[in-house]
Amino acid sequence: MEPMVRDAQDAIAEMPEVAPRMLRQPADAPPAVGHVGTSAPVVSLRRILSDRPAGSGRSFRGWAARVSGRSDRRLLLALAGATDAMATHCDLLADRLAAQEAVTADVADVYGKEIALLRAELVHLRRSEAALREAGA
Amino acid sequence: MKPPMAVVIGCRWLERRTELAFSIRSLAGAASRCGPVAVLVPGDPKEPAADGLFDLRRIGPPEAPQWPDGVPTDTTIIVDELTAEVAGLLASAQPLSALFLSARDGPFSRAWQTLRLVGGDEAVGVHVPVNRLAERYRHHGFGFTDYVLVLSDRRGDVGEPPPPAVAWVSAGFPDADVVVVEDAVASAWKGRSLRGKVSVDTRMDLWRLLAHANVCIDLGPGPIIARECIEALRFGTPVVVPDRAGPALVHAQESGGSAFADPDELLAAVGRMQKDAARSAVSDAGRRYAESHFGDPTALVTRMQAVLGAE
Repeated sequence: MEPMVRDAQDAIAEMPEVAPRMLRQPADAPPAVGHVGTSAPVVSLRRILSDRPAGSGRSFRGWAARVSGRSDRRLLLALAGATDAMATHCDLLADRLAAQEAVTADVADVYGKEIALLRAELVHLRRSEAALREAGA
Repeated sequence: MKPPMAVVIGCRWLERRTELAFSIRSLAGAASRCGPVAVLVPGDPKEPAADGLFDLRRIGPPEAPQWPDGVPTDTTIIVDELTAEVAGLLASAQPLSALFLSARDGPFSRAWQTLRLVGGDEAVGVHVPVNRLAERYRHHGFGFTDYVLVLSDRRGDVGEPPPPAVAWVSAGFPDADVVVVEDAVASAWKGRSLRGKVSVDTRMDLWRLLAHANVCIDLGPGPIIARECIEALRFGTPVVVPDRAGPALVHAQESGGSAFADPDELLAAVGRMQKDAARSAVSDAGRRYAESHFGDPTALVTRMQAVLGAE
């Protein structure tokens, strides 16, 4: 048969049987990023902040008293609050990233497997077809 | 001294790494339980040598073998590899009967029969020993078992990708550990990437790898008995082999294992072995087959007695 009238699927049929490519580095999901909220400085900060309204407030006030001026104390309180909020937000991001990496690894595994199986089946079909053609010739 | 009950011509006797040497040595050992055995090997006739159980008699260079003085010819002769030169020697010797394991040239006299080692009820077989301790302790280099073991058919090279069969299995089963033995090195692959390498220094190392595998894919099984397939089966590890005629295909068929002609069939065969019930049934059948045909030295002696017509 002339090449110009060949069916388009013949292009697939002529693909060489190349084995799946191997990876230079493992594609596993890396270990999950730890929570900032569990780090010692943030734990300490939160303990002091939580002690303030619950108890006499002595410990935070005592710490803040070392800073001179009311505005400085306000700034220090705001900084502590912002740090706490950022730590909470970082922890949420870490949770989302871990979930995302797990999903990515799962999807890569599933699609990688499916594609490998499909390619293998294609090779099998090509061989079967070639055998049938030979038998018919 | 009693005349020999059998004369063994071991063209490959001295090539210890070959399956022919392994097989002819196993047969000579079994024959020696029936009566005296003379072993003829290539080499200078003036230099006889002791080799374990046997005193070797040299018959000259492979291209011009000569029948040694004092060795009778009216007996059964077993040849490991029948070549044109050995055929000439046999023709001049006029033995009682002549059996051979493989033939390189030919055709030869119809009176000379192939001694079947694998397949069928009348196969004489060989004894393939394994160390049962390998089942108890896994290979020290890997911290996991139940992997897919691939015995490669090529020599490895640093940085070279693994054999295509390994790539297909690793891609088709991303969660499976795939261990490839190539050039005396075992490489562990998972999810299409290399995880580590350890050396395979001894036969015991190989047996440990065989014993703790989920399935063994032998890409280059031996042409005479496919020894590693038998060893895997003796440990209850199912075998998967290329769909080519030969002893490995017989082992796969007799043991309930699989043969493959393309990646699709390979992945299907490995997939079947991931199911516990199916794998367990094949494992039991393989172990029974290998034990009965290749694991019982007493049975081999009995079969050898029948071959030699000994009482």
